[in-house]
Amino acid sequence: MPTRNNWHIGRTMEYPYDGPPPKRQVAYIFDTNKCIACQTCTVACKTAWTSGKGEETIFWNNVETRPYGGYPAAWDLRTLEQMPPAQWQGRKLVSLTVIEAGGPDRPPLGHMPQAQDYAHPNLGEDDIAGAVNLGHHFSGTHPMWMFYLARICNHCDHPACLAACPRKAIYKRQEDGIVLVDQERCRGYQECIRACPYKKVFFNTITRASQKCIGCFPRVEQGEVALCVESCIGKIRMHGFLTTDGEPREDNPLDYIVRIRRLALPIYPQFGTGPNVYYIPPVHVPDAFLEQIFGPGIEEARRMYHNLADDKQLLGALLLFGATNRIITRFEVQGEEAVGWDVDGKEVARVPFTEPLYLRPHHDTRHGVYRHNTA
Amino acid sequence: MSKSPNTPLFVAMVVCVLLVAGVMTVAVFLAGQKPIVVVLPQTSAPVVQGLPAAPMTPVASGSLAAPATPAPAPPQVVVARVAAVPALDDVFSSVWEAVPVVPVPLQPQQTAAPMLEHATIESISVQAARDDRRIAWRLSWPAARPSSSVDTGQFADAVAIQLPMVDGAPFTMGAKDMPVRLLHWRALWQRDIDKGFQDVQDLYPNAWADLYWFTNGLRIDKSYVTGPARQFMPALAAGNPMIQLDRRSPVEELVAEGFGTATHVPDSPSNGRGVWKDGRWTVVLDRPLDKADRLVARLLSSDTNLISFAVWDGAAGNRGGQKHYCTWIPLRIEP
Repeated sequence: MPTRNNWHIGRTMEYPYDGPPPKRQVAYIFDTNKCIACQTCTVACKTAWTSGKGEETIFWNNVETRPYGGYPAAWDLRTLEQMPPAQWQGRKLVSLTVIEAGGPDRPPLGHMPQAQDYAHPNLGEDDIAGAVNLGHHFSGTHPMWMFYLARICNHCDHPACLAACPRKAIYKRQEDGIVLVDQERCRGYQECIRACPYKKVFFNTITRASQKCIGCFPRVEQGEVALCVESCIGKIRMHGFLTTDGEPREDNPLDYIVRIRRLALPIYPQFGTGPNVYYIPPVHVPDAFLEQIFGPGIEEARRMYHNLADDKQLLGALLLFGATNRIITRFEVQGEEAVGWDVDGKEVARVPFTEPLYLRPHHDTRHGVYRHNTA
Repeated sequence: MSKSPNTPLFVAMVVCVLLVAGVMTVAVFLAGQKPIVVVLPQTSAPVVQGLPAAPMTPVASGSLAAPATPAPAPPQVVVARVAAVPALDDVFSSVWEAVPVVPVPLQPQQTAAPMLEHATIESISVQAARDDRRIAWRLSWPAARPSSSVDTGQFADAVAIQLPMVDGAPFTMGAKDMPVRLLHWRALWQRDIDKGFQDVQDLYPNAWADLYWFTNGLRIDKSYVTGPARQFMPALAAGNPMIQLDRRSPVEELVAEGFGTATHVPDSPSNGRGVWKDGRWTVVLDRPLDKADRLVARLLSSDTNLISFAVWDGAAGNRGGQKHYCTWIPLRIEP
């Protein structure tokens, strides 16, 4: 089996296929601290891509509550329980990935969900980690916690779905690393559904073929961000490209946040598929829980997030979240503004560090009325 | 000068290949827990010539492990000449009672990933008959309950026959430039024909949706296929043969040139019918003997052909390469 470098786990690993990395890798950053689980992303995606017959319970984008939520039910726990606990030496994973744990000449380790596992996408929503007992009160950090985890296909560097498909009906695009299921070639064996550790490949009962998030590739080809990113009212998401043909670039917001500063972390890096949705971890959740989901680097990420006010370059990159429908490929902090340019070199976002303040007098002299703050 | 250092290397390689072949054969044998059916094709052409790695194609060889129990006589499928092949709507026709039944042992596919870990079906009963115009195979195997629908994690029962299109094609789905032809029946497609295309409401009677864009209603009808509604079913719009809302035959023909290459043959003439009764599937695969057809021409040009079978136990999660199968078996067509 060919060997590939996986920077998420700080080592090489075996993967059934060799090949050069894509010219650039589509990637996303989700700030979990800002997500309110309004599901606007979910609905935007569903309306655009999966409103057809047979797609009733398919959500390419979903937002679940941690620790108890999960769609499909217990998608991660059922994989985790088959593996020994992840073991890290610093940033190097010494335990096996799902690709390796499957065994030589075997598909990746996985589990096959059942139809009913997709029936309750909001299971566990807003449930907190423990009971609030009589006498509990705030002192420092609230002992009960939960957070929202927005999920889409990770368009992995080393996709388990692709590795598992016996027909080679899944492919990773050379131009942007988007992973797609060939809708003409798929015969519905569901090996990808079993293998994807994130359970982001779905079976369409009507077309009898597997389907997955297409990364809004028709939009990406036009330089536009994905619909789940554009529709996010909390501006928690950034969509762009990671550099694959050289060193990470300081002026690429994705490179800067993910590779250079490591503020955003991959989800379940121990699975070894190289997922490309990166999460800024929630600041209020116990480390042990976060380390299981996001791997090493939790404490540094939290410290960075707390110090953002004094970290102008990093804050500038974060200010560009949700600032434009165009994919930002270059950014710069200019004085008191963060500026973003798209792939055509056109300025598409200019965001001030401090929003201008407008004071409106209580009495409107022109109309002779008093303003209310609900007006 | 340069040859002598290579000789030990060559010998070592040969020993390694033989060793691997032996180990693989024993492993397949142990996993199957039954004697491997080894068939020496009776054609005069050396069909094993040019085959790829030996482990991929267990052909006759003295190196095969001798089973503890005596091996059954290698089966042979004889296509009996009958006055008229029974009509498809009568899979239990008395004509079939006069046709010999050949039990063919099956083993779990454990050559290529994804492998079938556990066998649940031991053998398939095979009959074959022909008249002047048609050739048919009647296949039967036990199934406690029929699995006729698909959903996430749910698979349908199925059966297939495989026929080489050239001499020497390996039984493992053929190989590059050595294609095989498959006739593949699925219980799901039979269900589509018997009861209409399996709709969401057939799986979930209380399923409701406010609207499916550009359609006439919640149940699948023509409006789903024509016009803009079509694009809301991506595999349909892409021309994937897996979705056929007006399926006419429960049998699909495929060509293959190796693992993972099985490709749908459009407008193939195969037909068939499967009936589940008293804990068994009985499936008839039926094909016109059109001599202009390459497959038929090949079948009729020689009185010794090869055939192999595959059975999928849907309830046990069988699909794709996770199947029960057998090596080539001689197929003799009575003139």
